[in-house]
Amino acid sequence: MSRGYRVGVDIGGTFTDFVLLAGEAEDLRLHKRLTTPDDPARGVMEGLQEILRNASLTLADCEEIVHGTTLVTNAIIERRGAETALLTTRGFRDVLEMGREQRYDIYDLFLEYPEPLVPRRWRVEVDERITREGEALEEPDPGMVLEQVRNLVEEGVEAVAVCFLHSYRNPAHEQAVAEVLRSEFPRLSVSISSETVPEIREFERVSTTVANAYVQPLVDRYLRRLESALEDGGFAGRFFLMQSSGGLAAAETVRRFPVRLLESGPAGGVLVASFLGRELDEPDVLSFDMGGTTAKLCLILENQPDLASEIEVARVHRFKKGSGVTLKAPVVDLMEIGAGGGSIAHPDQLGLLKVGPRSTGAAPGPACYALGGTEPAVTDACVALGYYDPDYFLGGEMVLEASAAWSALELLAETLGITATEAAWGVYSIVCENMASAARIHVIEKGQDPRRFPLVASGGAGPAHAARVARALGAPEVVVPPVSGVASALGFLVTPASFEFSRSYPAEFRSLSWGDVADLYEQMEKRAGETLRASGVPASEVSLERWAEMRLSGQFHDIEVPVPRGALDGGASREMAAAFEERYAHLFHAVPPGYEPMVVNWRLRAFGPTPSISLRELAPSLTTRSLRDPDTEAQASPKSLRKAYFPEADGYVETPVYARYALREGDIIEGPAIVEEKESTVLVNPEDVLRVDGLSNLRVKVGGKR
Amino acid sequence: MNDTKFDPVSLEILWSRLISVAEECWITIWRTAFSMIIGEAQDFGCELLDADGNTLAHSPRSMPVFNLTLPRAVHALVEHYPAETLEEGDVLITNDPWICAGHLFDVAVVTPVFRDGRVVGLVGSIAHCSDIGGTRDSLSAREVYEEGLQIPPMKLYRSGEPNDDLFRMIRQNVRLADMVIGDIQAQVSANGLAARRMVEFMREYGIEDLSDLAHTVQDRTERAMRDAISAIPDGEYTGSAPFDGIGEPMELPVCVRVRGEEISVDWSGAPDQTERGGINCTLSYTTAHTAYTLKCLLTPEVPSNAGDFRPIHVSAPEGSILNCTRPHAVNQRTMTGWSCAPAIFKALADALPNRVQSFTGLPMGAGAYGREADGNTFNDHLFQGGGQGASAARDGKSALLFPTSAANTSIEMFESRAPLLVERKELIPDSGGAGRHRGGLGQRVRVRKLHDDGEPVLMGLHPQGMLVDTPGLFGGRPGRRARVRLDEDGDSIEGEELGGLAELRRASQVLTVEIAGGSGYGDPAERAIAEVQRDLDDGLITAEGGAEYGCAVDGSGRAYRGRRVENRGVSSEGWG
Repeated sequence: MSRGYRVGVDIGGTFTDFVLLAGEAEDLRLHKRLTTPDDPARGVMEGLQEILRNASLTLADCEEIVHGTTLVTNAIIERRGAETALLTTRGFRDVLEMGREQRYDIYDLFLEYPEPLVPRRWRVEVDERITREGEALEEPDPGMVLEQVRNLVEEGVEAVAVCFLHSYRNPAHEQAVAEVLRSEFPRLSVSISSETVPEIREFERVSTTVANAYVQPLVDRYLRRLESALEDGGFAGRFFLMQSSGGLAAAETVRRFPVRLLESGPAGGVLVASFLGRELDEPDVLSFDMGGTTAKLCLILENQPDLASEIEVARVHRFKKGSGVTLKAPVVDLMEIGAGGGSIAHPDQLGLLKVGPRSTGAAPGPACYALGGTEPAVTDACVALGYYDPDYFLGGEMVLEASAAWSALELLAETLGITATEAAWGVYSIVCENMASAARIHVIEKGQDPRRFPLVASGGAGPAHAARVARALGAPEVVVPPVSGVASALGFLVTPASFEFSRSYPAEFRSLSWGDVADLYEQMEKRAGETLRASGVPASEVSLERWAEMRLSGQFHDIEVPVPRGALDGGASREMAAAFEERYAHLFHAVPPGYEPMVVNWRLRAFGPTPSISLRELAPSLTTRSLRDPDTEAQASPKSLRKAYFPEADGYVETPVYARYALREGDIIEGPAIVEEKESTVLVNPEDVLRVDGLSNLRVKVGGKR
Repeated sequence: MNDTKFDPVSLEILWSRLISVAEECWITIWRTAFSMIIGEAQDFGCELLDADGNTLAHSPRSMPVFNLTLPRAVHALVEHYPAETLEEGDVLITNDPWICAGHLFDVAVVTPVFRDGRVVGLVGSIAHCSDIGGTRDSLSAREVYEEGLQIPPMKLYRSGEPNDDLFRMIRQNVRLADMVIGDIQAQVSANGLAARRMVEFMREYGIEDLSDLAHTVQDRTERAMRDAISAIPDGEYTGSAPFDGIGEPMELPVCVRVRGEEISVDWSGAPDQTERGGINCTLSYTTAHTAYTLKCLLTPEVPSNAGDFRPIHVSAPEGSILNCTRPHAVNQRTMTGWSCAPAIFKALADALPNRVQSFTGLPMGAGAYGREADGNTFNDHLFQGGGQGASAARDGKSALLFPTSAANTSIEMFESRAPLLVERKELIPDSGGAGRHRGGLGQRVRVRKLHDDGEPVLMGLHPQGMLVDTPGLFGGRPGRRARVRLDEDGDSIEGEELGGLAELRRASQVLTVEIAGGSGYGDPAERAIAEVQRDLDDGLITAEGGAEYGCAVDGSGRAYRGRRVENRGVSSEGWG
């Protein structure tokens, strides 16, 4: 890659983060500014201009901009999408509202469920039917459909989702309807389920297709505004969007499948961890990203995070599985829990201390923000325990009030019958334990041993909690990469363009036609080539990865197995069957005798070249002025001492505090110690040892002093 | 209370960890099951128990009634196979309705957890297997012998070796044996996984013996339950709920006695056990439904374990429909037991007006059994819920399964396994009971054979609430009744005449099932006009249905409130 400049932009709930990278990382600049929720494009443009101006550059110098946004998720949470209608098979318009008809908490009689994105009066039934074999029992009448949709358009409908039963098997009816709609109503957004998510299970498919239609006009308008502003500013490079799968896509692709954008920030954090793993020669790591409201955990194996095929957004009952809008889309498979700096501590009905999932949010914030919050939050505990310096929060841009933190904790302590310090320690250790539990479940679900993986910590609160989480998990080490506070935006710049495809063709090996499978892959590869070409990746640079979802014939849930490279024939059957048995035994137990494995979905991931960036190149630029705090420059020894609480020391002890970017390669610091940078604080516990590696990472060996 | 060993912080950590182990057990069964009823509808549960067989923790998604019947099954198993005689690798099994979950379909698999050669706890799971042999025509059964294979307390594995005699015996007695055995294997492996996790947990925290922890969590939970009970004024609270019975409606009266921190639920007015039809509940099943309802009312946010049930006492006369004797038939016991909750809600409505819920239209799992033209047999369940009862908090959800924790089954998935065509799955307008808060709507499902291949398909059909109306609380109206009907060329057979089992021989036969709506809460006249309007706009009620709320509808579809309209009872929308 040339010496061109590339920028990563991540719009988050509170802040929009920018990373500017020159060439293979000769220069690196960070920028953070408040998000502009009324018009996110404005914040992006202003921020871009600011970071470029600081580097004496203009948009014309940029070769590539990679953008991630919470636009789609927020539109669904805040119900700001288009007026959307649904066309579906006669007799099935209520599937969207019925959902799985399941109570997500068995003892709560008064559960809430999300309102469907399409009101019942706009869910229109079409006389048509396809059977399980894909055979048409009744053809839709296009004239009638047009009549129905004309009425909807007159009522103000801007987007239409089309989802017919068994269309994953035979898309003809959906395609026919889409065609007449597109030609008759060119301004109408039309999403069809056989394109959006061609997989069996009508509720999940209709829910996803509806969400796609619902956000499409909004995403289209946003992209158009942003693209034209970029063009006006002189930008002539490539523009990519970050999908929740962790792959980049061109704006054109995203316009068709906006639901795949979902929430790209968390994916960015995971990508940084996997990039770091490559740089460190640690292919297997656990990404740990803790912010103000939630913590995200993601297991990365062989430098590759797993993709999940389903996610729930906009949960009515925060963090309760089953209370949200179900979407089937490839997403980085991460575990998100309600544990962040703002998580509120409270006694439960049994007099036990609970932390989260409720959060104070940005307003009023933890008590120590002194913005009117009175409930003790995790950040209050960190202040009380001496982990955070109230005068150096966000590098001193924000002053915290320790006395307010203490008052809030004292109230809590009183109800629990313990001291305020015990309460502070309780809050801190429980939030760490909650995250460790979530991590344990996540890792175990992947059939792995949670004690094996180093944690890569990012997010504002990640580095201050990572070592305790690691200890609870039994993990060996914590790695705090440089720029951990804006990791997501950097993640965007270290990932290739990519896109996932899938086809349902359920069959046991003995009845499977490998010719048909080869045809499916040929079709998918053709589409993959086209999609990536649109993103500027030439055919010669496209890489492909094939895998399949398999189960024992008769089961309902799948495990992933690679599809061998090369010719697909009986040899592939043997290879896949063996791989399946091994994975099954690893996850559950040996395959019970007499049950046949089968393939359900065939998947393909196509991706372009990975941008070559080297942390080794990056390291020197980290000590340039762009990151250093002028106050602490050139201090290799502790900049101060402060009292911090450690149970291993039976209380508060004088703890040395270091400035992160004053540290040099090879420096070793024994715990207890605190290392501060502008966006976060790294905690080194008494039994741990910190070392600065050659790539400017801080590496905390858990229990390294013993 | 004995919790000096655990401060509030470490107790929270340890307890959450146990719940996550139970959850992992649940996930493993779900992901490795073979039947629709377990893999899709999730009709199963699992939990961790202490060495005495008392519940420590269960998965948050477990079938509630199984959580409560498992300890009883475990006690019975351990009585037969005392802990000191068990060996590592043993797995116990039973489906005895009197000691387990009330009918033969529910199979309990229990795995002792060993640490250093000693039993330190148990992992148990109960799952509703897709078949257990016996008649398909369950309403015809008089004795449990007709209902399928009875498995007394036995060893399914001995020291890790499968008990082949028992496996062969099961295999020979059930339809689609691979599916049934596969599901049992899913339970075995999930239990084994959880047992390993429990040992790892004890090792990690240096816990030699779970009893201190067990007593601490159980005592805490018991304390919360006692506090909640004592908040109810002492006294006797009575209520009752109607149900269909066998051809003749019946009534389930209850008396709830609150005295200090203890609560007792007396079902002494329950009808006699029935000689036919299998709608009898064993006491174990009755107790579970009773205690589950109280748990929902009193401490829903406290994780559940044995402590919950110490202050709860349940009684029903021996020989009654809620405490039937051997060998009475029990297969369809939900047709009675699911009415326990509405009876208790009714009884406690005045004492706990904000915690009770009006009657919820009861769900149905329709089993479809037959042969494809290619000779393959199928046996798959189609699950759907009724309308949820309204409450002080809100309208009932339309289509929800209660009091089971099951999910519905995907139509596409069902069709891909059984050669049937589902023509409709839709809400029924006006089926939600009127009230200040409206009951959820019931649903209509219509099915026929896909091919005219001459192969008969048997559909088990037991929609509940066909013969009775269950009024809502505080003036709320009943939801619409359930119905079932088989049509062919203008002829039709309805309701009871179908006898709980429809035989579909031709594609021209169309089976329609309507699940009951939920009852309303509060006086319908108090419902906000804007909400009536929204229901009208969305077609959840018709203009005619608006009259239930004292509303008339003008030519442009606007609802307005005029003179109070007399209650016309259940709306009479025709068959759609």
